[in-house]
Amino acid sequence: MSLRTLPLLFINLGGEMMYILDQRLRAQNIPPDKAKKVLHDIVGTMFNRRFMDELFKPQEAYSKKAMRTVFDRLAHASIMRLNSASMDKLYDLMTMAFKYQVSLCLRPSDIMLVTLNHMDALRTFVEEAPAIKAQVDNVFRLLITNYSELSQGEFHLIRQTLLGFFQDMHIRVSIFLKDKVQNTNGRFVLPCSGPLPFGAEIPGTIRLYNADGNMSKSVNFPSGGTYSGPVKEGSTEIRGDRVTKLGTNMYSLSRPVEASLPRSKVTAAPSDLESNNPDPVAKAELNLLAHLMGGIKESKAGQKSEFRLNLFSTDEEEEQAAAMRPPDESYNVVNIDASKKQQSEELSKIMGDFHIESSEANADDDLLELMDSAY
Amino acid sequence: MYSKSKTIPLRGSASALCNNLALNRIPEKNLTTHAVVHRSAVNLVTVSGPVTGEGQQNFHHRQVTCREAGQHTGSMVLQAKWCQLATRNLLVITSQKGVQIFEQDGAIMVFWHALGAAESVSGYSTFARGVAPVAGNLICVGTSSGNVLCFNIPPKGPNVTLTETMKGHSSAITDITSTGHTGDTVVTADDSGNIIVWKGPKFVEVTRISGSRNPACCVCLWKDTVIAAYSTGHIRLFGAETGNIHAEVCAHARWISSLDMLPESGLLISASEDSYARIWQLKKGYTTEVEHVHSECVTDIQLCGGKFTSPDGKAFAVTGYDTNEIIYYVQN
Repeated sequence: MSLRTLPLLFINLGGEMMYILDQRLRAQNIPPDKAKKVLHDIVGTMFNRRFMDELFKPQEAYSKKAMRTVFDRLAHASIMRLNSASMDKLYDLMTMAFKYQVSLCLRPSDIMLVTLNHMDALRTFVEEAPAIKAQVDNVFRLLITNYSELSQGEFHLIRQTLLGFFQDMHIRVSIFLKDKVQNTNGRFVLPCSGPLPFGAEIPGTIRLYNADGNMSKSVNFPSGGTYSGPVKEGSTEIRGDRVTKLGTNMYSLSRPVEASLPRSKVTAAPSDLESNNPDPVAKAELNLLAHLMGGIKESKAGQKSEFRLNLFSTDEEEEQAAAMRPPDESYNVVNIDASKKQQSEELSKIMGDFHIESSEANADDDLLELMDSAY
Repeated sequence: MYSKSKTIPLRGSASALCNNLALNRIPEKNLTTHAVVHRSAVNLVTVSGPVTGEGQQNFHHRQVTCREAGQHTGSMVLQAKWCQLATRNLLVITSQKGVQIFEQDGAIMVFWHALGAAESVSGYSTFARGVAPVAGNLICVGTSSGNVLCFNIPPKGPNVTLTETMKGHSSAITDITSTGHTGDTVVTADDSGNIIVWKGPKFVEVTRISGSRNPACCVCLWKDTVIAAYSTGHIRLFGAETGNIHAEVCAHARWISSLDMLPESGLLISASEDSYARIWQLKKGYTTEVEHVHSECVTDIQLCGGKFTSPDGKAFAVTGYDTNEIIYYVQN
């Protein structure tokens, strides 16, 4: 719905991905120089300037399929390799984390603060690489330019659009279950206590006014909740006080990325409308996909320095997860192992469509070539 | 006072929208149809007999999708609402593409209005939102530009015409209410919190209630009182003629997503993303007063729709984001 959803979706999912990768790189004792290279390469690819310029143009959000494809590619932008079970898990964790943040934010414009929390952390990840840090600062500026003047109503529409993207996803995440912020049915716990959004008042008061407009009576009623009053307004300055903790790194060595429980069986039957997207999306998505698939290059570092990251505690767990993994069609996600140039039937079809579209596309639309040029 | 009674299954989860539950009762056939938006479709569930009655009930499901002929993709729906006019009852669906009007069972599309350049603002999405019947044969529909489109509906047949565009809002319309098809008063609310009271049939602005940039997400009209719910969790009562404030309620801890008013009894229900549905009693004196009646916490559900399901206020139903059921509550 909102044409301004895509950058926020991409940046926040990307931020969550970096938190998880950072934690797993440490847990797996990857040498610091390699780990750093991975984080730098991925942030650098993610925030490629021309790609960001395209991303921030008003447009419909990508479909779930296209977004997943983008992140499959992004996760492999460096010397790190993930097998499909680990990639599935990475994407599940990223999406559920951002769904949680969007669901729990006090008011829709908090999504901006959540995004800035991610941006602050990404800047820290690339502190030692001035060129990449400049890219992060460029995106920060784009965010301020594009979002700081938006109304609450427009942010509400953005939030509704994001919630639409995450609708019917109820994957259980162990860190959430442990913190008791997610129920075993995959639904988040919504507190009837704690802070209120900026501008709200604690429920429980009725004020009556007389004909002159003066307050004549104030009556209280039991609200049922135990709220603690409104928070102050978060700052969008560089290094400002975001007020909200949503969007900060929830993982640490003492709170690792753990194996999530098997996929919840209570999720809704996949909707036949799931992949429906308004037409304007199609062109942008297909464009993106085309470049994703066409422009694959082996990483310059070469095979020797490549390593495999496991999102599970042990290789056995990863194998088990891979065995349990439903076939791609039923999983509703297209996985592209572009290095082997295998394409699913569905993507071939999409690619077929693309050629019709591309005759109209102008040369400036080179979306993901941009990502490639970041290597 | 009220307790959970039944749930009605939905074929798709409710989308996160305001006013995402509509009801159509056909007393003579003893049928109640519920409409809940799921992405680019509207799920209709029809129940025969009293919904809250004992025993097993049969549900009849129908899905109305919002797509133009020849297109394989749908466009996101923002609202579905029935409009009872003097001679017919129609289901109006608003979406990113425009306005679709169906016969009340959702089977036959009567009219389709695509939103044009006049309703689009560069860089922002275009959509229709806010629907109300007025003056016997008119349906008013709000748009993202702030314009309100007024359609003339013939007693029968598809010959619907756009008769007027009401201009007064400068941000997206959130909700529209009216005195029903027998009256000629329309109340429109927008994303900046501004509310306008219009008098028909040639609509002129009679009262303007200025907001403070916080969206007025839902509006109701009772006697000569405008009831508005805000993104900050407040409910405010204003005189429709004067625009003067009569009451302010710190009602919810989050965005209010739905309001519904029973004209006979003066009962009001509000539903919010804070997971509470609250019932209020309005009383008309020299000014209009309001009392709290009941609060119901629907645990861990961001409510997106709430409606009284009986004219006496003895039962209500709610829907929530990402849930596949309509939850009924009845008075003990």
